[in-house]
Amino acid sequence: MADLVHRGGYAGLGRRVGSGDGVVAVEQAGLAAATVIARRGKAEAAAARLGGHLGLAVADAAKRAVSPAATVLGTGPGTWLVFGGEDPGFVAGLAAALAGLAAVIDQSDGQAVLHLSGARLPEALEKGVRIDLDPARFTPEDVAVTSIAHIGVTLWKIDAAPTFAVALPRSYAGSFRHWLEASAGPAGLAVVSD
Amino acid sequence: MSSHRLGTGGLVDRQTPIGFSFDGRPLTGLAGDTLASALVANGIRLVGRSFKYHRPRGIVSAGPEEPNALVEKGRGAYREPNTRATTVELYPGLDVASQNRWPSLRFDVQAIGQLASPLLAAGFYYKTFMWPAALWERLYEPAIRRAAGLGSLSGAPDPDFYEKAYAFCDLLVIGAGPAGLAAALTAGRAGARVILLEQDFALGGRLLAERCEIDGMPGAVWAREVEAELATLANVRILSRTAAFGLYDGEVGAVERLTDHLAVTPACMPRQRLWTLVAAQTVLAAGAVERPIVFGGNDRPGIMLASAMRSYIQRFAALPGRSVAVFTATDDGWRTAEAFARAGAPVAAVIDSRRDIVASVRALAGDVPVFLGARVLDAIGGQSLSAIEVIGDHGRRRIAVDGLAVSGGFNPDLAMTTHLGHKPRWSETSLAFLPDALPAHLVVAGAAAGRFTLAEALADGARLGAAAAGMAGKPAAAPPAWRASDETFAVGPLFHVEGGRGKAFVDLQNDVTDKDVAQSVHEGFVSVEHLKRYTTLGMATDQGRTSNVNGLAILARLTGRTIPETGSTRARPPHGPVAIGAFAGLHTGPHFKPTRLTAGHGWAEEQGAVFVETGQWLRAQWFPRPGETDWLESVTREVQAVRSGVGICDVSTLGKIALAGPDVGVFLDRVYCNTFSTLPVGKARYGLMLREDGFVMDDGTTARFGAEDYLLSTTTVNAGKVMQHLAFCHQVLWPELDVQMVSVTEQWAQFAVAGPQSRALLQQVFGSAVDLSDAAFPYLACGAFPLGPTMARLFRISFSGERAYEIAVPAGYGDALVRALMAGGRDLGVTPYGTEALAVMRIEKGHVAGAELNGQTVARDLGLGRMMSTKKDYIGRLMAERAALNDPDRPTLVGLKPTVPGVRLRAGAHFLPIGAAASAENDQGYMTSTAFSPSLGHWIGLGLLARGPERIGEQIRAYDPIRGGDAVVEVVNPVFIDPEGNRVHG
Repeated sequence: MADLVHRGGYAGLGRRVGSGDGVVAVEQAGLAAATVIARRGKAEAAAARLGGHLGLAVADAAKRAVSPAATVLGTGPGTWLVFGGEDPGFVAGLAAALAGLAAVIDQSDGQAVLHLSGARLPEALEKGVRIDLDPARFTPEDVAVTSIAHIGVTLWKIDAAPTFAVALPRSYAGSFRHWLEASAGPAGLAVVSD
Repeated sequence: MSSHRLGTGGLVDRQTPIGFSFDGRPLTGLAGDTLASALVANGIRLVGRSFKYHRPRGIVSAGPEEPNALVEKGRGAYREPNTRATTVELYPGLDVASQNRWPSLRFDVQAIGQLASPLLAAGFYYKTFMWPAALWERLYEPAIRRAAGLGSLSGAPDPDFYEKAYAFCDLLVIGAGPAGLAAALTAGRAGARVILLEQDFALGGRLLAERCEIDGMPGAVWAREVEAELATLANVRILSRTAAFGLYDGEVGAVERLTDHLAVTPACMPRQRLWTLVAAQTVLAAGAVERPIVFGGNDRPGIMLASAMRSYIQRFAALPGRSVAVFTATDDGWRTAEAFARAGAPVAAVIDSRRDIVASVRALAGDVPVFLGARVLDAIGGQSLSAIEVIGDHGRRRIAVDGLAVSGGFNPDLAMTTHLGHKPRWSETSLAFLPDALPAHLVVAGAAAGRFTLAEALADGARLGAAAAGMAGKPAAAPPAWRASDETFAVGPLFHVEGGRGKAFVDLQNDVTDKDVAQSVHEGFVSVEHLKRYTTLGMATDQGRTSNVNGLAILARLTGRTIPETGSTRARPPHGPVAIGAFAGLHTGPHFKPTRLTAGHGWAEEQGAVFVETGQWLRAQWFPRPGETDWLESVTREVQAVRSGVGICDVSTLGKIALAGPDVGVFLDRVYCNTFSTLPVGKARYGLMLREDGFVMDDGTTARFGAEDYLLSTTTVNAGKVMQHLAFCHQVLWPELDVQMVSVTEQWAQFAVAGPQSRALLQQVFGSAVDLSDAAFPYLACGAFPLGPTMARLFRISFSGERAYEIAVPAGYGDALVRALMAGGRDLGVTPYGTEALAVMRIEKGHVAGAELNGQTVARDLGLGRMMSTKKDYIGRLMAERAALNDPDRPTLVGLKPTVPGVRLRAGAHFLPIGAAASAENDQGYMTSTAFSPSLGHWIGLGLLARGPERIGEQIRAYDPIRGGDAVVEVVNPVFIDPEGNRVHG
């Protein structure tokens, strides 16, 4: 029987760690994640059940709902990208809770997630994000499905510092790193991944 | 101190001299200079040669409208031709060279072209070189190409890098002159988000060059104070050295020059940044460009726009001439006479075409000779102006001068208002095109709107800034009322002085003369758009800023029309030159598109894999081993290892779409031409998907893991297209179906494990708890099994024709899995193989792939006609029934092998009957895929041949004229290996 070791999407891309004076990027490896898609005509019920299961209020909108155990991101009509912690039973638990109301499809390994923060983060994001991230317009309640450097991303804001999170398909992690280093490198970038 | 530098005044720093060189000659300027002002300060007149006639040319303007002073900046790969000297900031070590001259600027051989100028008139290249035609390619075209063009490229890749950025605001202000500063400050104080663009390195626009006062302080000081206040406002961003170049739907494009003015470029610093700016409201405050006057010899070095002369004197403290005359049709020209007087170099004369001049303007000239109702007929001189000939009430008079300031009126810089198709209107009072209908969310302020006085500019700015703030929900308290010094604005109609002896240039950059316009009219090109294209008037880097209106006015007079009747050409972006690199941003070379790497990529790199781009993915193409010298050697070894033992191939890149819901079976029946609703849980099935027009779109297997849990696979290249297609089908065609779908390509790392020993290897990896016997897990079975800390999905499917499986694990375990497979298979001789071996084996097995699924084939062409269900409807069914698609003469899939072993077959070769001429009417199809078959020991091919399956055993000719291939091949069954399919079932 094989003993398999798990690696995050940013692993093996080289540890280029700079000053971090401008931007700090921390990989969030090992999070459970699932795409939840409501059955036909059951978006409201699925939102309610999803919220009930996770103990938070979920809307059928491009909004973020968060609890200590989970983050729910509205990514399309009747569709959510749900992140949990490192509990291996998280996705199965969601699927059981939403049986009959929504499809729950495991994406724990499909998404590479970075948390981005730092004094110079806004100017770095400005070099790739084509939406308005002004604090008054994009709040920690908001979610954007957009693109950065031709890479499809899900973007949300964790706090007003600001700290942003960027989830993207893991095969693009290297190209995203290239954009991040070019855009935040001059300001001083530190990348923390395993 | 440089020869023409004034002792006092100006916005240059006399404590900071800057060394630079022009044509190799070391010179000194001051901080705050542009290249042009430093050349003026050094008394340099001659800076370039003209485009067509190679006439000596000097500096005409002090801004981005400059048509003449184009230089090559930098050396080697950094060389940038056609750089406008008026926009280059001086920095230590700046190295520029004049262009369009050989061997030197003072002595230019091609200037002899002036003698042949009758041959070089408008449209000459359409006519002069027509005969004899045989000489065109050999003589005329090379000769014209050598003579033509502005500057020359380095020929080396651009060593700089560029980036893009996006910003949003309530108010975007283009231009930081008085109107722009007023708008930005008014809106900024109210709390609106403001972005202020200025192409210059200093804010202020004309305030930097004029003697004027605002609220009792000099204009330049006021500009500095406003800039200081704007800098304190967190809601205001100032982008200097940033030129807006285009108005697009909802966006403004601008380019910011980050390092062009630096002697040493900091590491990691891009050269330029391309901005996409999205604003709720845009105020265009780009000012106006002074208009020259067309008269004989009006291109002599020393002839300059009157306002530009004031810029050199009052902003840069550089004297553009010691004995200058002013030739004007505007009040503004008289201010230049005043500027020279203050600089201690009174003008030689003021010549105004008008007769009624208000006293306050007349007084600006002091007691110098004034000629009213007069014109300059000719400018005389060689490489520098020496005299002018004035015609007026006094008759003709020659006046010795070394400079001439010209003011023919002002052209508002409103190109941006026309980028979305809006046209300006002609104003008879301003004698200028003014904005008329405007694009949504764009307003125009100050001189750009034809409101030319300082007071009007400030009032416009305050009003429009307050309005924009109000629209953003940030009402301005009380718009400021700035008090500006008085000035007059008046202009008379004077575009062209006829009767001079010298050439009279309308467009200095393209060497278009008044005679060229007349010739254009004479030949029937009377539309303004035709005039532009026939004469090249208004093209090139200055986009006709100084030439278009004069050209129109002459055209109007020659055709007996008014200027409004003549119309104007429409400006298109970019308004000024933008480096192509800026549009590319970071996306150059290998970063042109993002690259996708599989979870096993690092492992494959360690194995020395050679990679190939497949869409955005990098896939291992083959794994060379020490001693192997040729890709074919490696690929042959890999194929043999699979067919005799076991091999591993990373197939993670194939598209994977999870489908869930009660109606998936119905949905799949409609999107595939074969039936899926009967697929049992635990089974996989090959499916063929058609386009609506009946042609094959994609193929792949779909596996069913649970009652409502399916996994559909696509080819690597079509993954995105198929996902889009399925989403369209669901959302638009059949929203009533209860189906949920999402791509899971990224979730799974998947490896093909193929060969007679594949089961042994997997059994080793899974351990004895999993039963992989043929009884428990037969061909086309699928299932999920525990593997270490995770669950693996296993599919018994084969592309190679061997017993084979695909094993998938969550991508985080992909790297570990491939290492476990390699370790577990060591005793079995497990061999990694790449896409080449994969392709060889599929050709040996007669499986179709991208070369056959090329968008031009129907199922029948591929020998898959029987897959098309007759018991259900599906996308493409009806259109596939069209007669032409069922014509037995259609090229259909066959195998091909050479009749002489050892002959190499090549894809792309066309099929001809033996003995038939190699012509299109004899063409019977072509070779789609070829490979050297290690199993058979010779080359094999797949191809599409007319009536192919009927012709098995026949010999035909495979003709490949491009690579010199011409072989006789035998038509055979496309399945070369194990046609009975015994191996795949084990």
